[in-house]
Amino acid sequence: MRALVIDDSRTMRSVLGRQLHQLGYDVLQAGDGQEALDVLEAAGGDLPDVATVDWNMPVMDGLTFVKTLRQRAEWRTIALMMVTTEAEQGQIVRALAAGAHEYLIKPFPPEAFAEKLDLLGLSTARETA
Amino acid sequence: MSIVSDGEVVLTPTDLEEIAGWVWSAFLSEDGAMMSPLLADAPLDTDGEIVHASVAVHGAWNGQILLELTEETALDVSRAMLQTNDVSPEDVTDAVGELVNMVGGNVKSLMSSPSALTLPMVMSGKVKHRATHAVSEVCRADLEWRGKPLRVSVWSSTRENENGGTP
Repeated sequence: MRALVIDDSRTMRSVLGRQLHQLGYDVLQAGDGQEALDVLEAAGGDLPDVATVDWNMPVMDGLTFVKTLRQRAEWRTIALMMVTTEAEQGQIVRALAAGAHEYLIKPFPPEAFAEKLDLLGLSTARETA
Repeated sequence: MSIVSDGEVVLTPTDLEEIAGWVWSAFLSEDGAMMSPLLADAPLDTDGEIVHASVAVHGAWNGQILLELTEETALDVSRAMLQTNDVSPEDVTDAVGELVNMVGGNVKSLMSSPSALTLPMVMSGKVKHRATHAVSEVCRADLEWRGKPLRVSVWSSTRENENGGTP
């Protein structure tokens, strides 16, 4: 299983990457939405199963990334989880309408992150790693 | 919890304590270190070398959220979040910025919406607060972590063009 962590904070990339690695994922990282698109282009057919997406980032924010990704048919297999401090109901609705599958508000305990992965049907990573 | 008066949310130090507690317990409590309110006679000495991290909120509510802590505490926080002792000054800036981002995002969720959060800004040194007629402190919580003081404060602004800088 592969995951792409998209966050402008190196600290959050490290925290999420550590948790994903413990769950058996190979982890890719990107510092903003545009960099994430570049990572996906370079990945070819070896795409991540899930991407965690911060909302507020320079260059390209998370919502724009989600909208852009959803326009590409070959990337529609990637499950998208917003992981952000943005907690307004309207923003959650916008993100889900744009194509995000799950929404996790920072801060969160590690078990909440794992539960969201379960909801995405990605709970087998630990067993298959 | 926060108080609603005439339709407006009035933040209390308890709100800030709770929010900071959520952040710290999620990312900084693996060694069991807890966060608790600081005794009133030992607040953060803001005359010393302090790390100031802030985010601004624009929209239905305008203001800033400020996290202040000593450089030593900022280093400890960064080491705890990254789970390594080998942290660079850039790591410290990033970690403290992410902390205030999470605190600020949760403060924003209590205020009038819709609004937007800026990217965090982090500064170090002897930075003095410059409260003006347009920026005023509305709530403050003096806290401690591992026995070291830190402060979370919320500032309101009537201006919509405030950046994330120190009030």
